[in-house]
Amino acid sequence: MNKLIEYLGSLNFGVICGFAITGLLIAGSLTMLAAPEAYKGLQGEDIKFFLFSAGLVHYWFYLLVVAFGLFVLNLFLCTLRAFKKKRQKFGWKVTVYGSTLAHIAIILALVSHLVSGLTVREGMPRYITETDAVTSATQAPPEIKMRIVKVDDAYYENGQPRRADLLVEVEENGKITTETLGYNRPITRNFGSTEYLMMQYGRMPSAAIMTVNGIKSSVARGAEVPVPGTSFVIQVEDLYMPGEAPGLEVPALLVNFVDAGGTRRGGLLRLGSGTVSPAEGLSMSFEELQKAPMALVRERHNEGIPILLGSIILFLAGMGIVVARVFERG
Amino acid sequence: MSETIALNLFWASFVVLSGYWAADFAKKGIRIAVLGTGLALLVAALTVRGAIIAYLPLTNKFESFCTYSTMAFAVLLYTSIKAKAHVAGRIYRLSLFAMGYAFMVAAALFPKEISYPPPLMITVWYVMHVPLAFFAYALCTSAGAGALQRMRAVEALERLDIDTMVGKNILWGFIIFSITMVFGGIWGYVAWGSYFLWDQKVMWSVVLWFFYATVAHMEFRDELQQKRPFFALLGVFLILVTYVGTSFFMKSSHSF
Repeated sequence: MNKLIEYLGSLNFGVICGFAITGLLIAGSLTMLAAPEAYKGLQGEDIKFFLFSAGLVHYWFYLLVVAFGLFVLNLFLCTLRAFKKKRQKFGWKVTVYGSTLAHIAIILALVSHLVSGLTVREGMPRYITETDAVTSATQAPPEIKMRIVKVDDAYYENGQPRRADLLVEVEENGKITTETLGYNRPITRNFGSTEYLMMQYGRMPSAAIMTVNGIKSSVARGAEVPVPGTSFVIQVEDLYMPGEAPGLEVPALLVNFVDAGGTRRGGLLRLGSGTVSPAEGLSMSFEELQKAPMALVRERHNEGIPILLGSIILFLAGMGIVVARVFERG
Repeated sequence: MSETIALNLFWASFVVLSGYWAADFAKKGIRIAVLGTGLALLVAALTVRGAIIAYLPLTNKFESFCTYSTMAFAVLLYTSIKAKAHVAGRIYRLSLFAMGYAFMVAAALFPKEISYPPPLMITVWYVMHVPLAFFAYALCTSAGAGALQRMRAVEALERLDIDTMVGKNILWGFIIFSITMVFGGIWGYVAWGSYFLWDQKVMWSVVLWFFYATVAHMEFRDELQQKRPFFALLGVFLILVTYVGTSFFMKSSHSF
């Protein structure tokens, strides 16, 4: 038994595990290339995929799990043995424990990867705007609402976006905070295990500038506006963007108007098409489309992130000590 | 205007470095001067491109290949100056130079227009992740070149010195690659929400990490140490697959 434990913690066994993992990952890569249809839907750190859609095609992954298990065992045993030796020889001299820390960090990273693979989930992307408070995409508490307060964006001279930082009002459990959301600047919760990512930023139509009987006003979708001096009430039912309706090349409003007798009529009013008179005493034109900032936000949950953060700190500390020791030795 | 300056600096560097094939047969001082001048011109070309976009000039294949070449030439220059003559021998020098030069030729064949980085690229994690990855690639390529040099070594002491150099390159390459993996993971998390993807480039990066982790640990056993030159050469092949193969022959979200 002792001999078996000694072998499982040996460098030779570690080398076998290392090359086995290397080979199995290469086999996985080639299998994915050969049978891409078997891996449709595999995303991010997810490993549940391999369990729910189990099949012989994933042989490399199942073997990889075994190889990783043996690798962690090997790493644990050899780190423990080395730690005992160092403890006897050097006491608590920090500079000799760099590799120990790095090895523990790797074990932690693999554990976190397992937790990530089994717990990662994401919600449906949602738009957030200046006015709408869009509810969290998943049912997982706490529910979170966001609203854009201010936009700080920049563009290159060719018009390509360079930066978009949004000041966002976040409502969570009745408490409102203001945070920054942007590309590479997600809003995080629970030590990073919950993340709100900005996937896309732009401006979306928010209202139409219309002139009705000579009076210019901003009308939002769904609004009902009485026309001064007449018995007409107009309602902007919908907005169609080019391509959304057959033959439509410019944005158009679906406008209904109701006369004094309650008769309801409607039609498409195209942007920039000039003034139209759909009924006696009523004239209208669609002057401009008002746009407001919007962002597409994706919600992600990954319970492995806090463990991974711990492993990164430990790994960098360990590597730092290893580097210092290499320099020390010359 | 600045774009033209950058391009001219690149071509000047290309011409000077083409001369290295002959200069390598000259005295140490001459070959170092030629290599140093070519490298300085290449760095200047990339610096001007960086100044134009006010960011790290690593936004397209041209700049990517140039950066690999820069790192390979920088490692070669350092080793040529610091290492013993039989360690940085002609086979080592020309094979490492050939790798850097090949990527420079590849760069010359790709479009050289300036491209601005998209917003997801603008983060400190990208700045720390990509150049360090190239540096690690260059160190591991240097280890492979050292393994070639070792094949021609006759004396035991000569082999020992080369082994030490190969071992150091692998160790430093591995340490730097480990750090670049951490930075890349953080970037993936803040940009896409995933520190790992089942993507060819990411998978092959993990392959590379496990490979070099294993090879670096071979140093602790004499019988395994003997096999290290073979693995150093195999490593260069894995680097090429990870860096170039996944971009051109496999579908990867890392397209350059």
